[in-house]
Amino acid sequence: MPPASDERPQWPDGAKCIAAITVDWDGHSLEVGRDLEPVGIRAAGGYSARRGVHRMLDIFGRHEIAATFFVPGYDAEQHANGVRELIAAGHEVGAHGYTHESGVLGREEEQELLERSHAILSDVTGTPPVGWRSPSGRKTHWTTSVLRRLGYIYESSDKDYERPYPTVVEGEPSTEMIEFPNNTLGPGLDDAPLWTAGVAPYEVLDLWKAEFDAIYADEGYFVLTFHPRAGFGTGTPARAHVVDELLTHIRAHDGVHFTRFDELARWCLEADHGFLDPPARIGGRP
Amino acid sequence: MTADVRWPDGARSAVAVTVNFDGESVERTADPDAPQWGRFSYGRYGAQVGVHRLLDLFERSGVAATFFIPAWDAERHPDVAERVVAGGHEVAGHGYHHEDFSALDIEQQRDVLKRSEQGFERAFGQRPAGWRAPDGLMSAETRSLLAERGYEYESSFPDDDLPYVVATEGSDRLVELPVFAGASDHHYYRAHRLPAVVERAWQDEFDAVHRAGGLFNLTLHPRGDYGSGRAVRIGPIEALLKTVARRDDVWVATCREIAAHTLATAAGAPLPA
Ligand SMILES: [Zn+2]
Ligand SMILES: [Zn+2]
Repeated sequence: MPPASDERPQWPDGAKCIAAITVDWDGHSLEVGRDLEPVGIRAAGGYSARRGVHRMLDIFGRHEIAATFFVPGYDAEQHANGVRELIAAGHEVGAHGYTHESGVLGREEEQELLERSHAILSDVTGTPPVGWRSPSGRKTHWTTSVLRRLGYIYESSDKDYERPYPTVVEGEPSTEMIEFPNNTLGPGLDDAPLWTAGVAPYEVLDLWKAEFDAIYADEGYFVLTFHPRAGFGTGTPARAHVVDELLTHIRAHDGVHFTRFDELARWCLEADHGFLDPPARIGGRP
Repeated sequence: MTADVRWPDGARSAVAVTVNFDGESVERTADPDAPQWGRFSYGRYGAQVGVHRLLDLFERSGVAATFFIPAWDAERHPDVAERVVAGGHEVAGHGYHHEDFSALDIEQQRDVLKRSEQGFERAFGQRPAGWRAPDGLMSAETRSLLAERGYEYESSFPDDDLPYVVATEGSDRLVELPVFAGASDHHYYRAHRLPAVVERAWQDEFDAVHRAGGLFNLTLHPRGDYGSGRAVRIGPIEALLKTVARRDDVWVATCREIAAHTLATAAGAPLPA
């Protein structure tokens, strides 16, 4: 249970609420990883690199915010220049699988793919990524140990809490890695289930504003996850406009601190900020 | 046919606030091999976050609710079990591990009920008086089995506006408290409806049930995906509870109280199971 307000951990800048805008690139990697040819209706991932990412860069630039992009290794190989543009614009690039592998893999195969994507992103951006988000939100008991060994300081896949907490590594809460829970399949702050269910852009805007308002009044931990692709994503004009309007709404509130995840992770890993010592044991166990 | 139950103190309708505590057992039953991380951690959200939000709301609204809890989840989260009981709420059965009772034969069902009751003894120091089928699924024998094991009520059948007494083999004391999707959260949130829509839908549902003189069996879940645990989803519940509290002709009670009242006032022959 969240503690009373005087025991709450402190956000950076003395902020009342942090806002982390996270974008999962999810280009053709998603279809390729499922052995589907990315053609016809299965070509929606191509929209990310052609249009969606640039539209997001434009929106973020106008609102002067820095975001975190999670990019599958395969997409980074295909669009190395596009990924470098993200870095040049001040955004963070985190890892998100090689071909968006979404099943539970054998230990060796999983490790090999995590290492391969890590090497690709390090090479393309010139800096090793420090964060990871599971493609399709799956993890195994050993995923976080591999990530920690590669130097990652956060991961963002679990749906079980409403503020950062120590990542469970080798079955124990880590003091070197922070968990940023995000709400994906839950019909709140991930675009894919909403667009897939036929929810209209104006309804999504209403929902995201309502989610933000409730979080602003409560835990102060707002994490939005969306995709710049077409299909289940938010890259197309009317949907991207929802992001634009939402950012306008958020920025009209006092005390909101927009953050990249890598910056927030470094903040949360400093013991005196209170995130390493949650009120109860949080996170998965066998 | 039983004569229709009349609500106490001249109330026109009754409201039960119920919570199906669908915790980690839901994910574990759905896919026992899937590690409980990432997309398989919404049940844990319910236990770590959502249930506390609901309990906070019930506390400030002065509502005694009925929690249907798989015994495994109750034992996994002793802090939750303790807080639910300390809040004056009723706890009732919901499988040991959120099992699909329609897929179990009668001996397996008996075994699961036994393990669930033993888990309740350990977690709450008492046996459950009531039961609700996980996902509403059961077999034709389940209600007889519940009656045989001394349960006072069951709450899974969407087949009447009012509670009624079920005639089972060897007992005519089991009460059914009907339950409907329109008065639940998961029905809407699984379809990605907005909280504002749910708020409106519940108000309309309640108004109509009140006019019909029935039982409004509100069914909530603490989960982060199809449940009401998120901050933004507390609003519709709070609005409904306020609407109910503004009326002086609504009886708000726990399921066990409603079952006892039904049994005490029911006239005529029980309905066959
Ligand atoms: Zn993805
Ligand atoms: Zn259930």
